[in-house]
Amino acid sequence: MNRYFIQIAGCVLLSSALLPFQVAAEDLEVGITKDKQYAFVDYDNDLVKVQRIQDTSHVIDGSYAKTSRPCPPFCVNPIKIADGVNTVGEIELIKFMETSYALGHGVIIDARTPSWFKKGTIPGSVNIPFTMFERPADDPELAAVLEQLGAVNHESAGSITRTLEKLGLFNGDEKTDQWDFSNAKELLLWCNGPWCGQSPRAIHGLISLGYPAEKLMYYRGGMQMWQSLGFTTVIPKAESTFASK
Amino acid sequence: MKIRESPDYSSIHRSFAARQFVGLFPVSHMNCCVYGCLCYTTVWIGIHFRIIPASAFPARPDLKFETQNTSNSINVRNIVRSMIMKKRIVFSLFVCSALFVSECMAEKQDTGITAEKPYAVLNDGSNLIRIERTNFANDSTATASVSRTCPPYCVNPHNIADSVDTVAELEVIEFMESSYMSGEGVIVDVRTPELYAQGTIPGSINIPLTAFEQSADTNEIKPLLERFGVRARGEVGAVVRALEKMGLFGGEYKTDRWDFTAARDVLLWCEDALCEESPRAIRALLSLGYPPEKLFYYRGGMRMWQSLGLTTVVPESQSKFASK
Repeated sequence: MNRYFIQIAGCVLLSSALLPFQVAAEDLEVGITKDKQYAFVDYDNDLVKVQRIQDTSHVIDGSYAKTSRPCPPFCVNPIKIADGVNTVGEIELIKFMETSYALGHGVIIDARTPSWFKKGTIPGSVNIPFTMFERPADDPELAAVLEQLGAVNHESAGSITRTLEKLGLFNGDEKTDQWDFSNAKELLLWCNGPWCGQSPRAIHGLISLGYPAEKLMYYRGGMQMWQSLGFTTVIPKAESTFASK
Repeated sequence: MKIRESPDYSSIHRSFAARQFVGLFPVSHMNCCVYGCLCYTTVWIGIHFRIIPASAFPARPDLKFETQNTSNSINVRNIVRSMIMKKRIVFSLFVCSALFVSECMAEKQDTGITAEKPYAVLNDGSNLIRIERTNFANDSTATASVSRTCPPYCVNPHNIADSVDTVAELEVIEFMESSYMSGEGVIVDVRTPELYAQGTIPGSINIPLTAFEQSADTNEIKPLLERFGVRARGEVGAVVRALEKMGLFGGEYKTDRWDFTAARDVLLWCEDALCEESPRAIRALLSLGYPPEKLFYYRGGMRMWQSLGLTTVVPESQSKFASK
């Protein structure tokens, strides 16, 4: 009985001692912008709080601190990776998490290989290695991925329909002989950093498949910038390369 | 602005040309000595075991190679005594040392800026500065990532203002090679003079934020704007102003006080994507009427420039408006 009482008293004391910290925790010293301190992302059936590391003396070390990877192949990318494709920064990525991603019509794609993905990724990301988008157009796995990204098989369209579409009617600029991308999702692709060629290759692959460029976004900073600004990363739980929301 | 001594232009390109030639051989700077020895040894073995035919190397036609007398045992002294072999040794040594020397002379650039562009050269009027990436693949001179408090050091959005282009390292280098070279463009380090003195991006002049945020009413802002090619206007008649506002007489580049028709391209940067100096400077210029398409925001700043290992320079002069 006494032990029980002590346990309860201990819990009460502990939680009351922590109370001021809980209240203060909402007022972060290191916010994202002056109006925004964190964001929430629904990911892997978890609610992930995306915020910045609060330790003002924190530094990155390890491979993301390296400055001089051999180029080629790890050359500096230009700011614009393809016509019509917007380059975005962290603020826009977080906004994407809170809007397009949360509503289900946006996909954040970690275009790196699965081993990198498993080490840690940006919350909300699915792993579709860049090599997927470089496969031949008739690859069945690629077709499955495109369908999950909202593309609809368009091979049954008649030749008259196709001719009209090529003239621009019926949303023709979002359709190819094989795919109808008019309801395809917005994709935000990233990889390891401004010197990483994987997400650019994925973007170019998607464009050559006919994916509308306006629906593609390129987070050039990648994992390196994300970490160098102290943003939250997560170790993904799901094994699948692409989980549909 | 005299920044630092630099090699002359032709030698930069000569070593580059040499590197292109030797670039066929998979060697690095460190391994050229090993390569030289390996080459020589291979030729030697090849000749001895007759893998390389005798005719591969120039020989004196009056002396025959004595095939009958050679046995499989390595009789080095006899071979060396032969005049033909001496010539072959000399020739192979010559070939290997030529490769060795040219490879060592040519600076192997493991880390270029892009695949086609190993480096860039900036002429600041009195010096040539080579913009390149540090050559040691494992050099981690990382500028520390610091979670500086926000506010005030908050993450900047990608676009800082409408029609102001956000650029990255390749575009900065392109700006250096075009706008800056022709005198049209200005690269501005908007940080404090102390930080500028420690090191800056080549070609940058230092104009701290306070200079941009001076009141437009006082004439303090005038030298800064004139540095950027902006003209102060005198009295302008009301009718002319009305017509200008409708778009006539190049009105889109004119305000009541300033004429931005000849305004230069200005590329501004500060410490990183968290710093507010260059965004505030850009907004101050925009509020004065500066054409947004002539302003460029290098969001990555010194931090990204260094994190890609790109060249920085220590400026010699401390003057704010160093003349080119």
